[in-house]
Amino acid sequence: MQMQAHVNVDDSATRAGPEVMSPEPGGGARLARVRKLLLSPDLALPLLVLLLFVATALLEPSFLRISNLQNILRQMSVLTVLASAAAITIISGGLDLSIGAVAALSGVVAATVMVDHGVLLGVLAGLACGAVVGVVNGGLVARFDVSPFIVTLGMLSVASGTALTVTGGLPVYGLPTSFTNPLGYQKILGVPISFVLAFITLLLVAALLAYTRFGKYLYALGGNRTATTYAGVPVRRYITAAYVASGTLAGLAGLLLTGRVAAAQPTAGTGLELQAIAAVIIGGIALTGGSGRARHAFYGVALLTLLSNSMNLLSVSSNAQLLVTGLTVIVAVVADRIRRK
Amino acid sequence: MNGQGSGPAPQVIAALRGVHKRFGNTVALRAVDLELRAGEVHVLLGENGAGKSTLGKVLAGIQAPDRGTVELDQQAVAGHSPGHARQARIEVVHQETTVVPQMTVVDNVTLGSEEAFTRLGILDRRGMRAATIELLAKVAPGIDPDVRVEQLTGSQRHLVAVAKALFRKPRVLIFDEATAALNKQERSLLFDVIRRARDEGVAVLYITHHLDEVSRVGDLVTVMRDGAVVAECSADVPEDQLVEHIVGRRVSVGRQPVEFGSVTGAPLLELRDVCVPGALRDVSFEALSGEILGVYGVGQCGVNELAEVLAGALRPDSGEVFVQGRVRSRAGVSAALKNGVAFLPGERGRAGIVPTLSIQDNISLSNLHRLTRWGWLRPKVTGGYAEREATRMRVRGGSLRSGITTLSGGNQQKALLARALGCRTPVLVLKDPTVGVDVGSRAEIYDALRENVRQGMSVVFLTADLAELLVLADRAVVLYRGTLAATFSGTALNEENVLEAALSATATLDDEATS
Ligand SMILES: Nc1ncnc2c1ncn2[C@@H]1O[C@H](COP(=O)(O)OP(=O)(O)OP(=O)(O)O)[C@@H](O)[C@H]1O
Ligand SMILES: [Mg+2]
Repeated sequence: MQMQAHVNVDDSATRAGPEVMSPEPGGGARLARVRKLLLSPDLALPLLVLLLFVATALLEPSFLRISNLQNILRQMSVLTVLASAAAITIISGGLDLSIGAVAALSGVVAATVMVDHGVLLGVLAGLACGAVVGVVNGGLVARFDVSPFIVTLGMLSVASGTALTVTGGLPVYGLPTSFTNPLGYQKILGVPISFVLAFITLLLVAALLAYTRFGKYLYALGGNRTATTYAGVPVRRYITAAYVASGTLAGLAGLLLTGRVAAAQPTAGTGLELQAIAAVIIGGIALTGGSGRARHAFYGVALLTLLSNSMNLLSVSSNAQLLVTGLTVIVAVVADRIRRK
Repeated sequence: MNGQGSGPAPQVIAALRGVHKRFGNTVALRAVDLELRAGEVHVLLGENGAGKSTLGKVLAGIQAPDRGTVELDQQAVAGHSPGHARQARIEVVHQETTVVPQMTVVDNVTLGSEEAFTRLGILDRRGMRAATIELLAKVAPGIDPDVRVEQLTGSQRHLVAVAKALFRKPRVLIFDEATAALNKQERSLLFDVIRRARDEGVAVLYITHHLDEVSRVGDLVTVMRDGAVVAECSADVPEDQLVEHIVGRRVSVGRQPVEFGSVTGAPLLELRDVCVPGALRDVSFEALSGEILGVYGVGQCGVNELAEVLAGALRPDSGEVFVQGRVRSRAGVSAALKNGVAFLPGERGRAGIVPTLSIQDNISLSNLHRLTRWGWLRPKVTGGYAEREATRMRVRGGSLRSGITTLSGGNQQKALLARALGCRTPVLVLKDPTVGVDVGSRAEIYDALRENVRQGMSVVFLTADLAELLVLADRAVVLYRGTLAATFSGTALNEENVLEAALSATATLDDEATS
């Protein structure tokens, strides 16, 4: 009969770890490393943005006018906040398609409250609206294990439907200037306030992802939800929290959007979620979850916004612009694949 | 054993010559030579991280060697690739099961073999299905061919992967720790399959940590250490000599004495009349402070469901679970952890590791709430913690900051043990704790568990490995078809009794049990 033996080790001397051989990476290995570096989002994307910047400046000198540069930053602000939101859910292995519609709904809610009760209550109402939608999204995804794609797609319709119903399809005007002026045109040291707010938000999300337990759990969830559950992480709570964060950020984006045009349009968010998700993917955050950083989302936003601005200046038709944006996403995804190999 | 010594030497089908492979600073293979001959089972032994899986992957074209050549049919191949390996009919059953969960068993087994069943552009589905069923009957009877793979247990999934490899009629067949999570019966069936394949002229490379398997299936043995081949011998070399080759030191081999009557602690974990529909019926037992309790069962005995119940992942239909005398009211693994039960799941790849995180993050995942302050990570504290736990469990590999998938399979398992043991909970529930862990480390892990128990903990482990049950358990409960068939301790805890209870005596004992 075979009996598994128990082994008592006489000699407790520790052995040397794997030794280091003389460095001899072949030419192929070096080439692969160079390729990897060139494709890394932290190098390739800033380079690409810079390239686009210089190229447009050369082709169209009016691009460099201060007013145009400020305009670009103002255009980036809403998308920066929404891309931060998209990054959070995508890294956690989920997806939030409702952020654009929620931004519009929050804008409408904030504007309506603001007209009667002042700026502070309006802002709070807008953020709360986003958070509440996030609770519903997150609760459904976490509790009932439904696909986030389906849940948030449904929520997209619910939110836009609500915004349209509440307003009767008309924009909400008459916002206090103490709200619309700062977000509309005021600047700090020449930088539009809306962009400053958006950038601070991005930094906060970056810190949340990189330096907190919440962030680490999101990466774990995106990497392997089953394993994270068995490791004793309260996954439902953290999934819900991810969607609440996403919804609240969408609410913030709605406020920026409303302040910029001094009116709350119930349809203002249409398609923004796709732009935000495109930015995140272009930035190199994998749709499969578990990897990527907030700054990557920002690279994507910068690239997309710059691209659209330069095409406007070069009077490329909006149809062709759509095509270019689509191609950018596809190229980015392929580059991502190659890099991960 | 098989045609050696008499007649012409069997033909070398695949070989490695002077193969080097390194990952960063880790040398996985150094100047490795290996020959696989037709009709021969070549056993590959070695500690965790010795380079066994890497060797298999080089043969299969998955990893390109830095230096050296792969030879097929005595011809050096340039630019070996998985496609090339497929053409040469080299099949691998990987350490981490690779099946598509959403597809049925038949579809998984036939995946990629469709061409052979296509006549004039039309796929002969019925013929393919019939061939699959015939094969399954030999490899894994009892698996419904039309069920989706995600509904199978871990060991069944693994057998599907075996069937898939066999379905392609391989000339070279590589098993990377094929029996790691299999129970006795499944193991015997697999050995039959391997012997049959060998007799049909297949060259088999068989990687294992179970030394008792060497003489059962092997013809000759190669031992690796730190990436190099350190010994080649025939399969009838005694086990202690093999251990010496593997560990590289003189070791004394003996069965760990089990202390009787020393367990007097209070019950830390108690099950009362637990029922799970279709899996468990009125299961009651308790795990005491200061003891290691083993749970064993074969086939559809309910062990998997029991593990889920103990871990808190599955709420029983009726019955109660008490932890430290208090009834567990909330479901969920996280709640159970808070109440003092840490869990190591089986199936490392599916339910254990988070592949996108570093070794350090994987180890600290269960304990992060204690390693952070106000929700902020403290990298130094976490790093120090992971370092200590990794050393305790003898995790060997590169930097703790590198991805967990850079660790060898056995070392990944040790990292998961470090995660569970690091929680320092009164109760530890371990499913297949040492799957893929080498002999030397296994002994150290058992010692670490005993040390915990001496300090008043309670360890419950559920295993498919009878040898592990007998060596580690102070007391064992045996499940049979969802009911608790027997409890053994002391001298009654022996192979005959356990198997009799597990197979309910009436079932026919396989060759292993009667040998
Ligand atoms: N992709 C990788 N990146 C970095 N290091 C790796 C990688 N794959 C393997 N290694 C290292 O190479 C060495 C050999 O690993 P390998 O998986 O071949 O070991 P093994 O003998 O199969 O061990 P086990 O018995 O634990 O499965 C280990 O030190 C491992 O950490
Ligand atoms: Mg291995």
